[in-house]
Amino acid sequence: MLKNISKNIAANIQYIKEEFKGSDDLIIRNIEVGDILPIKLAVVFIDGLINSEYVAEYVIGSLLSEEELKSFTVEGYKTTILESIKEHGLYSTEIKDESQWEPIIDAILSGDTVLLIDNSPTGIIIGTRGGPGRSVGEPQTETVIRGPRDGFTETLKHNTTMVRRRIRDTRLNVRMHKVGRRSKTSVAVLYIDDIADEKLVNEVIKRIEDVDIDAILDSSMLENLIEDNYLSPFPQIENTERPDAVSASLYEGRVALLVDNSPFALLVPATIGTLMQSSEDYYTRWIEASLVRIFRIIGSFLIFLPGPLYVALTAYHPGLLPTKLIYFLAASRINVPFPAIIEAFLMETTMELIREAGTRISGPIGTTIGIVGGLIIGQAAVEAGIVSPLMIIIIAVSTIATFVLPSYDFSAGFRIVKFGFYILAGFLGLYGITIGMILLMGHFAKLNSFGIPYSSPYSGLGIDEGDIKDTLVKAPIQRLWLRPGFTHPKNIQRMRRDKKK
Amino acid sequence: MKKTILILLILTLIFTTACWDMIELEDRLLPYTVAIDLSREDTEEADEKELFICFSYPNINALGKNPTQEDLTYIINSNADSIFEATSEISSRVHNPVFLKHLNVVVMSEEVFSNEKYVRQVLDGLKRDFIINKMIHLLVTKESAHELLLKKLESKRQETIEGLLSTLLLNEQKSTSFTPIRLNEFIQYMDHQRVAIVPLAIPEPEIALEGGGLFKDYEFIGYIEKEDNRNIAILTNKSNNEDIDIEYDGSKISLQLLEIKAKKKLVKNQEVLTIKYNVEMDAQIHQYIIDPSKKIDSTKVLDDIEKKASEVLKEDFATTLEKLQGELNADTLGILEYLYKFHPKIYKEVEGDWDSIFPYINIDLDVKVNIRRRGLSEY
Amino acid sequence: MKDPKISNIQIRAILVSTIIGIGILSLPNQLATAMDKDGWIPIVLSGLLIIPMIIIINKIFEANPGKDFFMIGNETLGKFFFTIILIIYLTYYIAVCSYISRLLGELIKGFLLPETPIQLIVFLFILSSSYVAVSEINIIARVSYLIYPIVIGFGVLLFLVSLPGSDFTNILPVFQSDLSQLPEGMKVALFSFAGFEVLFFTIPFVEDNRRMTKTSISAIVIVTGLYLVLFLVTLTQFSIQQIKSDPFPLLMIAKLIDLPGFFLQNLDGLVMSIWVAVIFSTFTPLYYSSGKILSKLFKTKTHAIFILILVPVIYFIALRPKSIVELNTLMSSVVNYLSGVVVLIVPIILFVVGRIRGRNKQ
Repeated sequence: MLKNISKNIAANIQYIKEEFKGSDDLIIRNIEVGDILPIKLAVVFIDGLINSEYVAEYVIGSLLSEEELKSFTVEGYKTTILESIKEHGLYSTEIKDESQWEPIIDAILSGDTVLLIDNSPTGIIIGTRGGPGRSVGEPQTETVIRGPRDGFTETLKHNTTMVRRRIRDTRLNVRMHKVGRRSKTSVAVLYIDDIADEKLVNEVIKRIEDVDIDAILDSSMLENLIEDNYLSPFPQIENTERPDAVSASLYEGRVALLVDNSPFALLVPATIGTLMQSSEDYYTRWIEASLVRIFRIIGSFLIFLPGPLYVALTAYHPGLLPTKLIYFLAASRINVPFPAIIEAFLMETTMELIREAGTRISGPIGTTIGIVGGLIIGQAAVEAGIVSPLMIIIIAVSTIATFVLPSYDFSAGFRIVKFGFYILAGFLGLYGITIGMILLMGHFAKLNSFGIPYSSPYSGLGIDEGDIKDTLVKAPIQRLWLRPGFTHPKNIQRMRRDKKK
Repeated sequence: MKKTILILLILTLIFTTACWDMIELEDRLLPYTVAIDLSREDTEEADEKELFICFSYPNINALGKNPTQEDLTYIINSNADSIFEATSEISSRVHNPVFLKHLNVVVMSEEVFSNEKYVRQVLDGLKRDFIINKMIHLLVTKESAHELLLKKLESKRQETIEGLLSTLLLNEQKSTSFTPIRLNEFIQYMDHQRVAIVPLAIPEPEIALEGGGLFKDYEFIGYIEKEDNRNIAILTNKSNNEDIDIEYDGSKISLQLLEIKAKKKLVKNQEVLTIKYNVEMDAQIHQYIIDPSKKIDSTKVLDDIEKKASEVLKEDFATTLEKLQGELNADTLGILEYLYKFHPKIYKEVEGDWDSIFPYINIDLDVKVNIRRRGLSEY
Repeated sequence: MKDPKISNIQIRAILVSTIIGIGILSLPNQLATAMDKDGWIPIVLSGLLIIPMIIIINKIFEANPGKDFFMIGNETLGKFFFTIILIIYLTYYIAVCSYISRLLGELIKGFLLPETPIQLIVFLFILSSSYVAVSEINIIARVSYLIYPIVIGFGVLLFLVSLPGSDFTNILPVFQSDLSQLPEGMKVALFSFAGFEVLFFTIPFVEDNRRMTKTSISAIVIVTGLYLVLFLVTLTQFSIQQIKSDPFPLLMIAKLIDLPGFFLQNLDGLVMSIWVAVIFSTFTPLYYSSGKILSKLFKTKTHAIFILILVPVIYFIALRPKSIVELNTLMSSVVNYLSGVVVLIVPIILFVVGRIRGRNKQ
């Protein structure tokens, strides 16, 4: 494999053709400029990846029409041809010299245009990326009632722009990395230099560089590859579609990863505290936001506790409920032929099916499935006496609770844990649930996200710095004068501390 | 790898052995009342008789949205030495195990509770059990206890899901004709003042609770009337709401007593042990008479009524006290406990022979009724 | 990022939740047996007695900055004596762990799972603790902090729900008991403070050493306060004879809760399961410590392997005693004697010898 491009343009074209043997969408446009001394040029790009109007007008068009190039003389030919083309011949904004084959091929593959010049050992890479892409739209998964409505797209360049617009600071670093031996996906590491902890940044970069895989198709793949504990059901990296959420995190001293072709940015470190935050919290008034935060925490318990508790209480400890309630519960279960645990598993399975079907099929059919599943099956199951009405209510509540957590992955973690709790409750009743809670707590305590305790701030780190003000509740913005401490930011002060309360 | 093996080990351990304690809710008998009589079967010694234990439990088939059966309550009984033994004896006859956590009333018949040994046995059984609620109510009845339960079945009108007796016991009472007592309280009374009153259930003409049976050191010593019970309740701050009728100016006045506060105090430096009772309460006139000549419009009239009411109450209290100090010799007012808590020195002197001291102590009563409201009438 | 660090508030949590544990259920009973209604005197006195001990432990570490318990012990006492002390510690910890897990098993069996074999209950408990105990001290500190609100909440909950039915005159009379019983009461109360020696294993990892003494004293104050409140709550609920006759008065309080208007009834199961979490936070640090001691004795890098080895050891010792009565007499006597050594004597020896050596060097 050749390393440097040769002086002979024909050889170069031959080489490119050889490299892209199977790619019929490669276009090599040969042109000639110069009236006195014609110079052979080749414009190489892949059809569809480039912005073709741009190439036609600002690359080929400018080369052919520029007067300066037409009047080349012999003297200037050898030394200045490259310079002249760069200085006079190209109208495009982004150009770069390159004499090595590897970057040139990469550039062609990423949608740039390469200009090869006869008798010159250097080619020019012209930034012409374009082609089909989604325009900026509202985020699909994180909608807000109030707040910015732009969401990330699949184009990395748009995404970094959206973040840049919110952080007009030279200290915002955007470090580009390539991940994937074949896919060569661009990954941008974003952080604010004088806020983010160096150790954290270095750890992130190290892990990205350590990744060895042929292709990254979405940020979630990268997420799995750089996570601390990939066996855990809980995500240790947060993801978001919202540029405002990314910017807010950067201001908190966290690091964001933007992956090309993925509208989801990754945020590290993630903790239980941050996974319970939604960007909407900062746009609504603080009392409502605080209330919602607390309900989210309750909601996270409601995902996995009601069902197992029902099993434990009805099958093991009927003594723990008030007398009146227990008699009516017994009456409602009188026709149910299954033990509570089987009943619960039956309904949970149905619910998971309905959920899966509903997500796979969007639009009107999805709604129909929801109605059929939720209303008709539930109603019919109770009528038929297969499940007790209370069970339906419990399943419904815990399913609704899964949508309360801002992070889908996090609530999915609880959903998975729920089945473990069912088994424990089914075999050991309340004691099993307690053991489950202990294990869950232990698991949370053992998890780390890039060296930061996952259970922060509830595990006793960062309380001094007042993290709890922005996790358990959301204090008025006037009171959040410090950045959260869990990221160990270099610069902790966020606003002037107001002396008068 | 080690972890996975361990986890697999636990899981197989759990799965291969069954779930030992799982009994579905609808597969349990959940009795709420237990009646204890003496067994009808003859034995040689009266003391060694077995107990005749009778549970009443709700028929869950008759509850809920689409009941399939009508009878709300079933009754099942057994001859056994203890409640615990009875449950295991019963479970050989019914298809479901008995679960006693929701048991909330124990009724003992006279033949049981008049024998101290049985009382101690039954109460210990209730106390020692892991499952049984320690807030279980105690009741006594003069007749047979299980007939009380049967009688309860007949009066369907009053039947509620938790059982008539416990509803009656928990009812917010207008007047304290009985004072509910729980197992825990009973034992506490036995320790503190050695005397406790257990409400008495009367089956005729309709099931009602009135008065109570007096226990001293777990030994039954006699019954008290509902008036006595009310007076004791007032003097021990157990009552908040009473009705009394007094005769005034030739007509009857109905008074509702509220905010009743009784304070006892030791009068020091007396020859005889003297306890002074200060009973103060608010009152409200509920009924008088429509007669323009009898207006309640001056403080004097009110003062008169107050005085009259106080006298009536004081007399009432005195009668009860006489009874308690006389024939019953039972310190239900908790005077010994009061001495123990606030005058430990005197307590140490009298503790040993309280039984012979209590009948002779001097109890001073000072009753004050304050009429605050006269209702919606000028007359 | 590698070496574990613990924050000060985590130390407080770890202290409180380690000290408050198995003893809390039976403490009112034992105190009442010894001192009648004046059981609160030994609580306060032991609290006051523990505070100097805490200061001593802190002083030991202040005198040897940057060293952990094992280094200090080796240096001040010499290898041989220190090994003996470590073995005493180890015996004590294993005994306590077994005692705890057996008692937990008995209570769970009694209150929640009458038919389930106690073997499974005990085994599962030890196993789930080992999941946490294999990690380093900072993880244990995090777990302790997560459980800390539950420990405090346990006390507050018992206090609040028992308020409606409590009779505060029951606390009277005070100062009526026989003062010759005080040593007996002190023994009970001091044992209920055992567990603070976990400081030996935690102080070397603290972020901010300066505030350490203050933090650990505040933990003792919290524990003393909680014990006091719970003892007084028990007094308001029961007669003294009842407390004396009931081995676990606090569980009885839970059984007594009946607030029909608040939909609260029969809270004993709930309290039992909260109590399991409280016990867990006592058990885990002790378990961790015994693993740590073993790894120092055998000079291994991590203690994880010993935690796994200890699972069957604790399990079999826990199931040795025949009945709960035997468990109480046998285990608690062993534990009581050893705890005197572990809690009082060793810190003092370390402190005094360290002082003398330090002076000699100068």
